[in-house]
Amino acid sequence: MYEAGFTVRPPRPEDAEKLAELMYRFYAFNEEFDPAWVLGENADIKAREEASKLASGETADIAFIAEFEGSIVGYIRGYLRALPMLKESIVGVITELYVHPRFRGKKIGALLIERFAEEARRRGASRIAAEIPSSNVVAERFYSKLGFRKFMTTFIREV
Amino acid sequence: MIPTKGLRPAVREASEDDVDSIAVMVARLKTLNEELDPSFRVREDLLDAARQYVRTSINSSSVILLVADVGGETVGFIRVELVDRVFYEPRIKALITDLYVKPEYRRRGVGKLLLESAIEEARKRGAGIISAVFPEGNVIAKSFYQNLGFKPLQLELFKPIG
Repeated sequence: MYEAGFTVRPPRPEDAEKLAELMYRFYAFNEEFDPAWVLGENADIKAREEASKLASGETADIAFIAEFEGSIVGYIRGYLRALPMLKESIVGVITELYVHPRFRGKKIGALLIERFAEEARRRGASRIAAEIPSSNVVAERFYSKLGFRKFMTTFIREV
Repeated sequence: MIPTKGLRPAVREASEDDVDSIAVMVARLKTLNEELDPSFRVREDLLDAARQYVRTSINSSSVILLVADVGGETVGFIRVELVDRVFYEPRIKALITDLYVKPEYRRRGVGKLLLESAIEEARKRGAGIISAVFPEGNVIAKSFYQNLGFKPLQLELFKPIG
């Protein structure tokens, strides 16, 4: 089902630098769709900080990286959201998912989502969700194809 | 952010002084194309190539290169090639090869203003039709041009042979 040679695993401290680059690319890509996503001037430094945290396992976030021939070509990141009043009260929310353009079309994104789902389920989630900028039509198409449906809508305005 | 929010963009012809700022935008556009359509894999020395591309464009008599400024910052550009269609009327086509507006300056008509200015200049130089080329996967460009009344003109198909 999936192309050979790819492995998905939790990030390790030595992955931080490459992970930071992919995180930066993820944000820079979303920046193209919505002015509310405009990156700060030190976004590259922040990406490195975030990546180190994620890679050293210092956060409660769920994160996995996809590896091909020793290099990191994609990652997924999310968290568990509690909705205590609901019957199904825990949702695993994907907040970041990125695969390098040169490795697209190989179902790496789907593979990352499967591992994320597995881990979210292990931690008590009965559903997974994905947060994307509403103008990112590429991500919308991607998740729709993988069986996701619209769940919540986020409104935003300047204050 | 946004001390420039109320300022109106002004469009002018690009000069040698703009090479670096336009080249950065060219590189961002090509990187975005790669994101939206992996068939457009960018080269390693993208920024150098972009600088060369901009320089050549500025010096070419068949290229229109315009930039938009907002409050002293260059926030977008358009590049148009004048093409002789040889067999068809109108003969001169203005072909938009590149159009980019920095994300923080989107949604305030900068792209449309660049396009209108380019049309005006192209008309002066004898063009009777304007078109735009961009990767099939660039949905942002597609909706931009469709909203402004552009329709499909030609189809480009490909297969790798390397």
